[in-house]
Amino acid sequence: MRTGRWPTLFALACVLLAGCGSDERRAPTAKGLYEVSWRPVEGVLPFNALFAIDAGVTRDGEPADVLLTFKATMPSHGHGMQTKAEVKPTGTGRFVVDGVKLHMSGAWELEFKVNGAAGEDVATFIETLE
Amino acid sequence: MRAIALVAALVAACAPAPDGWTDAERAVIASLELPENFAPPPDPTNRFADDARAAALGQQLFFDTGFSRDGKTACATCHDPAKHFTDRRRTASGVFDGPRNTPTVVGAALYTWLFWDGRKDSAWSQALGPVENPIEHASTRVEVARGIFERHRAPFEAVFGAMPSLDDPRFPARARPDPARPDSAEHRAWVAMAAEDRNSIDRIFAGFGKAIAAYERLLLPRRAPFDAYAKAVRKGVASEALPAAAVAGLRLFIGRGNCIACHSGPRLTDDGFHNLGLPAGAAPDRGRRAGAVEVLADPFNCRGPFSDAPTACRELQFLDPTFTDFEGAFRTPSLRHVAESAPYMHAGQHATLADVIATYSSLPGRAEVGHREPTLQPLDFRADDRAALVAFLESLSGPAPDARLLKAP
Repeated sequence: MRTGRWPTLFALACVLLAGCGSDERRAPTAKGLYEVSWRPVEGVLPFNALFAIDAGVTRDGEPADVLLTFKATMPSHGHGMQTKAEVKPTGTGRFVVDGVKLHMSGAWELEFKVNGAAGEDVATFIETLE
Repeated sequence: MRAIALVAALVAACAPAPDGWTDAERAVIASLELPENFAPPPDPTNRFADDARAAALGQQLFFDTGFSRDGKTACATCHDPAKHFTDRRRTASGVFDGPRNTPTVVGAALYTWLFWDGRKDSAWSQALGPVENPIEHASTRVEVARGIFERHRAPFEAVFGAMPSLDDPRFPARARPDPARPDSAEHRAWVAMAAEDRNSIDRIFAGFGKAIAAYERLLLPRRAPFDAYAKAVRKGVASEALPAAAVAGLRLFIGRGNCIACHSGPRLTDDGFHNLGLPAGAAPDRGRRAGAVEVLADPFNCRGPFSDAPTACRELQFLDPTFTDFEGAFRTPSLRHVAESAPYMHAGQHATLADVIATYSSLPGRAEVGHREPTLQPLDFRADDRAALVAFLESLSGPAPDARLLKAP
C-alpha cells in the first residue's frame, strides 16, 4: 500500500519551485537589475475586458523602492491597447496596474519598466490569448 | 453482459461528435450561443433602466414625431420597427440626409459604446444625440421639455418627479447649448436662461433619454436557428436546425475565415472598433478617433452630473483617445439578426451580405483614413464558401420582438 510519499514530495517540489499551477509570472529584467513578478488580480487573464494586475519588483530578493510603468502591445499587429493603464503603488516594490484590456486574440507583449536607484531596466512577458 | 456494456461505452466514447466538430471547436461554438434567458446587464447609470413605467413612457416618446423641427420625425422614422428598427437606406435621412448608416435599435442597449464612432457610453445618453442633431431631428432640449409638458406630463412626472411650468414665457421657444456655434440663436437663448432653469431642462432631457433607453432595453436579439444547432452541438447530439451550407459557413466563420476575431461572443461583436479599409462615404470619416474624444467630453456620460453611477465608470476612466488605430475605425456591429439590417457598414457601403463577404474575401483598395486592420488578409473564398458564409449569417435571425413593442402604445 502506498504511503503517499510521492504525492507529498511532488507537492513540496511545487511549493519550492514557485509557479506549479499558480497564475504568477516572474522574470528578471533585461540587464539583471531587478526581478518582476505579476499576476492578474482575478487570477485569470480575461479576453477583451478591463482587468487589474498585481505586480511586485525585487532586487536581490528584497522589495525594491522603484517606480513602475506598464504597457502592452501586439508586436505582430503594430499596436498597443485601446486603454491607458494606471499604475498605483501599494507598498515598497508593490503595485496595482489597473485598466489593462487585451482586446484581440494573439500574442501580447507586456512590458514592465522599472526605474530605481540601481538604474532603469525592463522585464518583458509574452502572453498569448486564444 | 459486462463485456457488452464495456464495448458500448467504448463505442460511445469514440463516436465522432456531431458534424465532426473537435472539442476545441465545440467550445468556440458554445461561446457564440445566445443564452436561453438572455437579459441585458444592469445599467447603473440609469436608475430607471428596468422600470416598467419608464419603458412604457419611453415607447410613447420613441414614436412621437413632435420632438423634431419638421414635426414629422420621430426615433421610429429612421428606426422603423417594420424594418428591424432601421430604415433599409445606405445612410439615414431625418430632417436632412446624413453621412452614416442607421444602426438597429434591437440589442442597442447591450453595447459598451453607442453610434458607429462610440461617441456615447450609454443607451440613455445616445437617445439625446439625434434629437438635437441639426440633420436628424433638428430640435432643442427646451422644445423636448415643452413637448413632454404638453403631451406626456403625467407619465413623466410619475417617474421623474414634478416639472417646472414649461408654458412660462421665461422658457424660450428654442434653446440648446452649442459651443461650436456660440452666435447661433439657440445657443444665445440657452445662455440667457437662468442657471436653475438650464439645470431643470437638462434633468428633463436626461429623463427623456432614460425612459427611451428603458424601452430599448426590451428590444433584444432572440435565439435563432444557429442557437438551436449550437445547443445540439453542446449536448453532443445531431441536429437538423441548420442547412448544410450554414454549417459549412460556421466552420469557415470560426476557422479559416477567422471572422470570430472581432465577431465574438453571444452577440458576435467584441464591442470594439476596427478599420476595414472601406471606401469613404460622402466625406472622409475619422470614426472612433473623433468619437473617443467626444464621449470623454460629453456632459451626459457615465461620470457626468446626470448619471446615476458617476463613480463606476471604468471604461471611460481608462479609454485612451489617442490610440492610433482608432483612426478611421468603426464599431464592430453585432451579427444577431444581421440579415434584417441591410445595407451594411458605417456608410451603407455594402448593399447585401454577399457584397460584405465578397469584400472580406478580396479586400480591395486601401483605407482612406488611417490604415486597415492588419489581421485582415484576403481570403480568396470560392463561390460556394462565400454562399456558405451568407447562409450562416442568415441563420442568426430569430423572431422579432414582441408585437406590442413594435408600435406606439
